[in-house]
Amino acid sequence: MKRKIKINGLALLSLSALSFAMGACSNGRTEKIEAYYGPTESLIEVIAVLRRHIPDDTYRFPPATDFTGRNVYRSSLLRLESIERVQADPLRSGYMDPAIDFSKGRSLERLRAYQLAALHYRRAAQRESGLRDEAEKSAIICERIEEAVGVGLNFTDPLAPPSDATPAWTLDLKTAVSQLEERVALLSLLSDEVERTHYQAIISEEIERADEIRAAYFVRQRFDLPDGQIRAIAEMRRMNARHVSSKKRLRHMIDLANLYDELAHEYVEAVPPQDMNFDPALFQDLVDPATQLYQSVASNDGTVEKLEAARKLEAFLAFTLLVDNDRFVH
Amino acid sequence: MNPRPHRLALLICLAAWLGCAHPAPPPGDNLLLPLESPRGWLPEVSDRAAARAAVAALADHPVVLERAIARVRASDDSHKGEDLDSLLQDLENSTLPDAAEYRAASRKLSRSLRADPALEARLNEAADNDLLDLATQRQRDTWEIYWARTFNAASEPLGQALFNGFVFAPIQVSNSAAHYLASFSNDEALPMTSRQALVLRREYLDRHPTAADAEEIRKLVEEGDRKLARTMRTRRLRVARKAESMGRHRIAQIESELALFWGPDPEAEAIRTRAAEEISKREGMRANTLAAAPLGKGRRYTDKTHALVIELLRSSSRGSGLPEPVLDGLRKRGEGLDISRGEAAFILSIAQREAGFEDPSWRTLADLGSGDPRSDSMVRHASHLFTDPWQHPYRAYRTMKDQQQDEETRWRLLGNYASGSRYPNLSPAIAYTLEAPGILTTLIMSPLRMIFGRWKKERDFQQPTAVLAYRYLGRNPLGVHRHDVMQWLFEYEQGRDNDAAALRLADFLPGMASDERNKLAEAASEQALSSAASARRPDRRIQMFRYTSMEYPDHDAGKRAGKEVRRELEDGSAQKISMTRDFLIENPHVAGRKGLGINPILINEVVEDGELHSRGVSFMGGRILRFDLLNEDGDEELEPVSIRKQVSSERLARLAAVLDETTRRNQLLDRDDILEADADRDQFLERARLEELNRPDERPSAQSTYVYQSMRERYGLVRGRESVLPFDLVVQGSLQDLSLGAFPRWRPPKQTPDAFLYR
Repeated sequence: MKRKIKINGLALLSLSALSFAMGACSNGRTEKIEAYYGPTESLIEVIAVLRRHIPDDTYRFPPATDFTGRNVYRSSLLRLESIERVQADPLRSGYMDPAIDFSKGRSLERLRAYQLAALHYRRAAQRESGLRDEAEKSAIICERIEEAVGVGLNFTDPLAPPSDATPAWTLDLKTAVSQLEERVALLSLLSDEVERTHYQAIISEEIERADEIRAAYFVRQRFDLPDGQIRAIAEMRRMNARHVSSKKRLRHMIDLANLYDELAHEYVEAVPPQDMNFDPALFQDLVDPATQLYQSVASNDGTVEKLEAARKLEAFLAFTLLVDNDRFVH
Repeated sequence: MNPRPHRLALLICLAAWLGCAHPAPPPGDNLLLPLESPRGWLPEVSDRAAARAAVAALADHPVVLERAIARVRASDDSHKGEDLDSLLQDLENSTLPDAAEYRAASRKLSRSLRADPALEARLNEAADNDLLDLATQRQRDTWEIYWARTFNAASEPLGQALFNGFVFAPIQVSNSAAHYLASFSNDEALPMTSRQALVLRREYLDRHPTAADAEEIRKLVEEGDRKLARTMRTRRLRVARKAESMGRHRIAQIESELALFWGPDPEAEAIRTRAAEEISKREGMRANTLAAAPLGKGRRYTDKTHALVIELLRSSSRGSGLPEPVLDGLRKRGEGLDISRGEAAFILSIAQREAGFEDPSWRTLADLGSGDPRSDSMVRHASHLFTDPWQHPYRAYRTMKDQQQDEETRWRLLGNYASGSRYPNLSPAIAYTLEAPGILTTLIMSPLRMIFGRWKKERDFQQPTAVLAYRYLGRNPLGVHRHDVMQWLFEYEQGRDNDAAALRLADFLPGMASDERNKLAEAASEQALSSAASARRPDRRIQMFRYTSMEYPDHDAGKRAGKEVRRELEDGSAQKISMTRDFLIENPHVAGRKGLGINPILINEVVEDGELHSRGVSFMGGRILRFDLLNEDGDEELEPVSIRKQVSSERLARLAAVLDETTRRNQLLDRDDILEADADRDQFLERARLEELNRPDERPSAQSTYVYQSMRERYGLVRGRESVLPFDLVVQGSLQDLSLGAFPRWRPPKQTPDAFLYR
């Protein structure tokens, strides 16, 4: 049996220094070197950080984070608001307002608050001639994006209290699809106009979102539409194929695998393995793609989706082992 | 001797005592100072030029930007801060289109800085955020891990030899070298740190596909991908091999398929084929068992058989048992009933069980099950019933208990060697030869380990046995072994300090003394109370306290739980975010008039004029702040005097803003001053900043109990710093050979926070 005592390399030196420090420090509490920036310096710092990330392609890569790990666009917006509050007196003269408004616009458009972003751009355009062209152009683009994303279905908060409006997700297939196609067409048109600007990434994200809504529509309606299950899978596959370069590629793959997983569970619920009608081949058609998709995602090191897919794969295989006892040969 | 000096001293002491020992005055109403009033600040040349620079940077006007920066540099007004030039340079750098250029410019700017350490830290962080550099660092980590292993393999035996003489040195060195070499058998083709490097390089290629060094990086990525595939295939194959050796062919098949996902492999193919054959064979056997076999030669079913079957089916729902003549025939192995001996034994076991003869019933089945399945078709049914842990949980419980006792004994004697060698990838002969000295030492030292190990939390060996014991009681609540099983479970639960479960069992145990039961109930109520107190959500906590008070109303803990419910309801608040007194002293901007605006006498460390308790000030939800003040005795140990005060939205908004800005800056200044993630805290402060806190958010899930602490409160007076040396000095004593040793041990590199995504 061995007992080990670890001593840091500088431990002996530290020990002697400690006794000195104990004597010297009657009170170890010290004041921090606190922010002494004036209003101008504080704002320039935030704007410089934000400016660095304006051209980022947030469709292909996750949004950047600041040193605290927060989304840089959200963090910049919050900091601008904090500085406005802390430096309320100096900023009252309004000399920084156009820059603040414009920066808020740039942050808000990355947070999908297009209307608010347009409002800030308009304010910036009114106050500063140097920004007028750019701010007005941005305001128009934001308004057009807002207009486009208002066409057709949208995801709704499932926990929000029910509203009186007609539940949009019960729209008939033709209307739902044509509206979403119209939205994508509007966004694509705009995308061509804003080529080589950061708006291309924002618009690509919105097109992706429209495709996600479309796929979700088919998934939700799969019991009511003719060939609903097959169409739901086809739509999910379409989304996967259209957005292979997106940062959400792995998420889409997990969504598709989840659909197969859910179908397999639903099939076993409806036709239990001990039932005479249980069809092992049909069940296998659901198991194989789900396993393959989860495995593909789980092989991507360094992503959070890897963990989710790996655990889901385990859970799914455990489920098939349970079924196997009766009727299923993997 | 003149007594006067003594009297004088006494008088002086008395006067001093009267002067100093008067109690602190009660806290007055001036907890907060009025908000700072506007001072008519007007922008100067540097402010206006900097604003133009910001606008130009945002609108991509490089010429205007350059001109505005030049204007600021030329100006020297009173508003121009020390860092404005540097910040504007950073602003200009942020417009550079290439990430590498920006990093280089940031590094250059950081080197030229003299004023603000926070800006320097931020620039350094930006400059260090280079994918290829990070990949190289991770790759270096891999090599450092190998180096640390090599260094330690040499330093440990040499350090021991220095202390104990060089007689045993050859043995110690050769032993260490053998283990060092064997340790490579556990290495994977691509270790975790190299996998991190691979991902970083891949991301670099995604972001810069046309970079000058893309081709070179692509080759590294391809090589990494090959190694990664080999690593993952090997992992899966290992599991597949083990599953196959244990006869778990379904798992072997799945694992071999997962191995093949990473590329072709003959062994995985072979396991998959063999597993498929075994599964198919098993399916065939299962199909055979379902097939209707013809009756044996000379056998036929008669009316008597028919009558027996009808009686069996009828009695199955009545539970009335079989008639005596039938039972008699069964006892005589089916004589006069026209059924086989096996069928008779099987039916007899059912009758015995239904008549309450549990053990004889299982004995009948055990006898039948031990026969040749080819001689009687009922043998396999009997065997299955006897060995199925769901059908015969008592047998499963007994078997598991013995197995687990054996395992515990093995573990007590062999320690970690009980689960095998540390080198599972070497051949067992080599592995155990290497481990032999260690195993022998562990065995010899086992009595000492048993003595010292009593105070350590040990592995719960009998947990699976307890599952089976509960299963037996669930299936056979009136079973003949119920008291034995309950007694065992009672002792087991008490042994692992689960008094609540022990109490439940005690109520069913015959002969339990009321004193003992009372003690147990007291312990169970304490357990429930402490579990309630540790619940994070207030609603859940109140619910658990209430349950404790209702479940144990006659016990001390039950009464205290009732009081806790009342306290929670009376003192409960929507929020509980606190700033300690030390934090406020350490961060004067937060405490000052731009933030909280606390009366400075409350944090001047003079008790006589009123002083904050160390708990400080808390946000209680809505616009309410709670000030915890030292009581009249100025005693930190006693409960503070709490004063709740509603403050203006404006003050709360400023405080939230300053708090956020200050803690962010602190993080840059000091790597240890981390603001831990707390979404509820952030949400509350965000709403405070927007002056949207007129109504408190009463949802229990929205409550944050975050405490802003000073660095001294977090880390003590002297903060532990990491040694600048790359190794620790280890002093090691061995009871085995009464030897001593001292040697440097190389520290392997620390894992990065995202390491869990690479396992």
